[in-house]
Amino acid sequence: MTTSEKLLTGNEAAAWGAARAGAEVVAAYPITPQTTIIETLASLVHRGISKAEYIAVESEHSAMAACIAAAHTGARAFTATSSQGLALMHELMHWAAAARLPVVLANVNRAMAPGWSIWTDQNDSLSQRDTGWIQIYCVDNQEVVDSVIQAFALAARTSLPVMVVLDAFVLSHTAEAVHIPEEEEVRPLIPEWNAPWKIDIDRPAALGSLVPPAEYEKMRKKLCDAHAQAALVIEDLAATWRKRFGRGAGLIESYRAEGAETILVTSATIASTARVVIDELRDKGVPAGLVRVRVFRPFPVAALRGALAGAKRVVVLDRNCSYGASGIFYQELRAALCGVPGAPVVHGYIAGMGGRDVTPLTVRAALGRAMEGEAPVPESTWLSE
Amino acid sequence: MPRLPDGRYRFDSLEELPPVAVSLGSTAWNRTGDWRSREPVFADQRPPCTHGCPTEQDIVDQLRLCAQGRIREAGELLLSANPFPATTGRVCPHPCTASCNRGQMDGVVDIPGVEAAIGDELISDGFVPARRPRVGGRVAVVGAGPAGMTAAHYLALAGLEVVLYDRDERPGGLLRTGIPPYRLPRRALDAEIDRALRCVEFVGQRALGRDLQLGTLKQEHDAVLVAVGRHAPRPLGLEGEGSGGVHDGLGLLAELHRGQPAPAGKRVVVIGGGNTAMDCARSLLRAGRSVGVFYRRDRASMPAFVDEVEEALEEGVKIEEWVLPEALLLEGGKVRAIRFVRARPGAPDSSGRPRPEPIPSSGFVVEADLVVVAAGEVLDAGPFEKSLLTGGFVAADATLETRMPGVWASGDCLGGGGTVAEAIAQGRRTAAAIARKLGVAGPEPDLLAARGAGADVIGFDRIRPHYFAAVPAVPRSKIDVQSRLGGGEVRVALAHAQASAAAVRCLSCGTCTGCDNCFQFCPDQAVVRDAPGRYRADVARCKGCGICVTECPRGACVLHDLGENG
Amino acid sequence: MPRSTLGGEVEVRLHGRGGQGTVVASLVLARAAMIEGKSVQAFPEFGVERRGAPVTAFLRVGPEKIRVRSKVYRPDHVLVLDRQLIPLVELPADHGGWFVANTPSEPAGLSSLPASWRPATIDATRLARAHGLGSGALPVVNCPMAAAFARITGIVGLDALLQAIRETVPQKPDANAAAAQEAWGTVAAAPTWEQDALQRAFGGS
Repeated sequence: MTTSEKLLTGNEAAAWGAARAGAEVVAAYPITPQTTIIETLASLVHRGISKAEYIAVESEHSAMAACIAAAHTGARAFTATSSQGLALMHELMHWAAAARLPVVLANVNRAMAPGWSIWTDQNDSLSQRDTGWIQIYCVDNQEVVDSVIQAFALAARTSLPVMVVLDAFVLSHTAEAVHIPEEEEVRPLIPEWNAPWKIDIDRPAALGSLVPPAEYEKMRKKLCDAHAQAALVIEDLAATWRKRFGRGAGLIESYRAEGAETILVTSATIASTARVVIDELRDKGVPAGLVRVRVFRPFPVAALRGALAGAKRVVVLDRNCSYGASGIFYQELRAALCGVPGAPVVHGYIAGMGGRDVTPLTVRAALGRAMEGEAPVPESTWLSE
Repeated sequence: MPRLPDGRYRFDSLEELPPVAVSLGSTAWNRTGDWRSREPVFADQRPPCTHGCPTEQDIVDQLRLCAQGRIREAGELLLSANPFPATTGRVCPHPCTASCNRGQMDGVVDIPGVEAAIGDELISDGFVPARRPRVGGRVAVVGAGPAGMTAAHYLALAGLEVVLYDRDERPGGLLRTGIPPYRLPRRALDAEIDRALRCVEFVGQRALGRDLQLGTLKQEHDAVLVAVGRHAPRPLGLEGEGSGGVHDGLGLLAELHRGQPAPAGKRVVVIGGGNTAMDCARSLLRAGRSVGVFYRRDRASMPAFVDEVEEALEEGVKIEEWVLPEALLLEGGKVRAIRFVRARPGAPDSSGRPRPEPIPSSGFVVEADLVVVAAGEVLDAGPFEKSLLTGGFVAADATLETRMPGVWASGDCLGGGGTVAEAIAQGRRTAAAIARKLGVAGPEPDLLAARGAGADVIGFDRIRPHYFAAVPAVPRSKIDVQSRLGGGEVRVALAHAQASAAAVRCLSCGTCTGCDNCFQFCPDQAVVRDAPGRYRADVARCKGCGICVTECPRGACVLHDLGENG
Repeated sequence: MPRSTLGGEVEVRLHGRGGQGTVVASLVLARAAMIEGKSVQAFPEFGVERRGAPVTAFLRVGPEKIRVRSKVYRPDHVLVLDRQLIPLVELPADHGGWFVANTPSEPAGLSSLPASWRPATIDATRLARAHGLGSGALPVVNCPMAAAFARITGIVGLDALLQAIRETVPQKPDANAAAAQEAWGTVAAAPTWEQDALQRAFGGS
């Protein structure tokens, strides 16, 4: 253990990340399993470690409204939520992105009710897919603290809101060793946000007025272009992290994927457990590898095409489902590979919904079934069936 | 789908599982009580007010009834512990409020104010408590002060024949002769005495040792109670204490309250720091004299009630601290001045307070033509055989029976703290003991225990203040000094509605109000409500989590450890 | 290069009741292992915690970064903080290690365990009461239990454990450390396999 490592849960790591990045306004409403993020932040504010103004609000909708207002003034705004709470923010999620505000949000992935559940799956955050937010899915608690800090830099550099996503309980309530960067190491990486639409009492302006169709369309195109720009910034930040701290992934992360015939594509903590399975297969001489999708928006089409080139088959393991279609990463990956000459066969599996435990056995089953020649189906195969 | 023996369902196939979360039965199969190592017990406990009150009134219940506007019922309950609420509400130093838990929130509940208001209401209502049918048995009570009157009252209500003797013409004892009307209006005192002694035969001008003998009384009655108080002044031990212009405090007050004019003398020196000293000082002030109180320790050490000292100062009484009287300076057989020496705190005495140590060469002379010695009272031991006394007071066992079987004692003649409430409490306890001895149903010695309350005194740690809306205490308005000196009552009594408003603030410490918090908060539906305000734990469901205890706003529910075998 | 997955990695399951400090026990052991330079992962059973209800926590300790993120299904050791839970703990019969339980019984009293599990016992409830931990009705036994577990399994040493207690436990760190030290000295274990074998082979003491 290095002296600067702490035993932290994922939620504590998220709070420390916001504090180290210099969050200036925190507005949040408690919800299991997110609550300990804002509890930790409240305590960090109380102890003077964070200088943020902590605003207790009466709903997630208000939390996002407060963050939007704060961000408009140039303050670094942070909130955290989960599941139904994120859904309640939905209207303002669109607003934050289209108003091009650098809000940072930590979402603890929790399954949507009913069928009341507090356990993890990705349908809450993936329901915000088309709002214009950047989405980063974390594999461990170290990545949580790093991603939250990077999110503030990324948001300020792109004028886009950033959502950092962590699995309920598997990260949120699991304690492991985390290195917390010092303030002076990371603050210089986060520029002041000084967009022309920042509220400034010396330059009075009206915001959010009626926009004619042609201009509206062009503004939306700019939002899309900002995501392309964000992909570059994400890789740039990853490079900085690798140089400075010797760790950190960018848009995607490959693990023993070189020369692999079969590549597992998955996200978040499943990718951690999956490494153990890849090692077992490689030890047996099976050419299998892993590609983790860390950033879901912007979707890393080019990076994935590159990482998967040469593979015979790709197995996508989704902890989510677009009902009536398929697993969402599966859907996105097929679209990314569509029309690529010599593209691999893509299998889609769904597992771990509502917090169902994903063990090495689960991962082995997905890879095994695909390698044994099970035909891919367009609507994904539910592994439990 | 198969149903398991314990009532649960098992889904063997996807078809069997309903598409949504819908209950098919109840969760009764889940015997969460099997996890239990503790269980809640729903039982009232002792509120700090009752714990602090010598008469152990059921204050919480009285306040509840009063808050509901049921003053008559509150009064009946009060009278079962104390026949003189209009009196004690005014003259008691109210130890009930000392640890009132509301004091740690937004100010203590005005318990004495409500008590006096209930007492006043009972008087104007003409309420009379019911007496049990006559039974055989004659009791003599000697001394018609608060202890004797209380005992006589409860014994009479129990159906016994009671004769109450006093050396004075009228009953009341110290309440009448010692406490000035500006603290205790005579209409209230007279009305309460009339009601208390309604079924008692009172015989005045009979003094123990002179007109009455213990031995004879014992022969003529089934039980005798001695409650003669202590009236003999404790002398200062200075030469010339019998000279003109020198008076003892209690004697002076008695004369004043009988309507005699105040003795001559413009400049008054009162020696002492107790309530008698304060009453003398303030009474003489009202007679137009200039008064100084001279006390051998500091103000904070005075045995007088804090309120009394403060009021005396407001009215213009001067207080000199750390002074010891050294000599009376006489002229023609009358006092002219008094010489004091200054003192400083020395080693603590038996009471734990610093002993005043004279400072050499610090003497000074104070001109005075009227000196009142109020340095305490002792028992007039004359009428008692030596064998009945210990340390100058009447000796009694735990039931307050003296060493002469069949003779009990109560009140100040036993020594003790000397408050009216303590005298009343002892009067009720002896009445209970005598009634028990004579085989009749007497007053309840412990009202809270009688209604099943436990012995835990509920401190603020057991109160959940967030359940109580802030309702600031209404300060009782005081009458300005000028009008006070005119002779009226010093403090304004609470009117009916004000008393209810004050009573609403009671937290009901340790006393279930049926708020249903335990019932509502239990996560396992393990709190069973048998009737409003009557709860018990269903042991099949209660897992001992203690949420009911945590959420009880007032400590009326405790967790019991079931131990290793739970 | 990637390393073998379970080389030297130890998986532990802790069983207690909500309010006894089960999760904190896992954190104390994790922090102690971290102090000794090991890699750790500690987490509660992902459920809605209720006071008095059975609670499970998991702990993984290993020499390298721990990557498996599922629950522990085949524990190498088990720690039970509440004696009433002892009969309810499910143990794999084909895999085993130490079963360290809070009970006044001798280890031999836990006769119902599968043969692959070795019992060790300590009366941590008595220790907690003696050191004023928790309330009389609900003694908090996590620190003495963590110490007994560490002593028996050798998962961490006493120095690291005491330091971890002081850094982790929010209330009464000194009393908890004292109780842990006493537990370290008093936990009783059934004889080891080796001792058993020696006993069978040579008899006597």
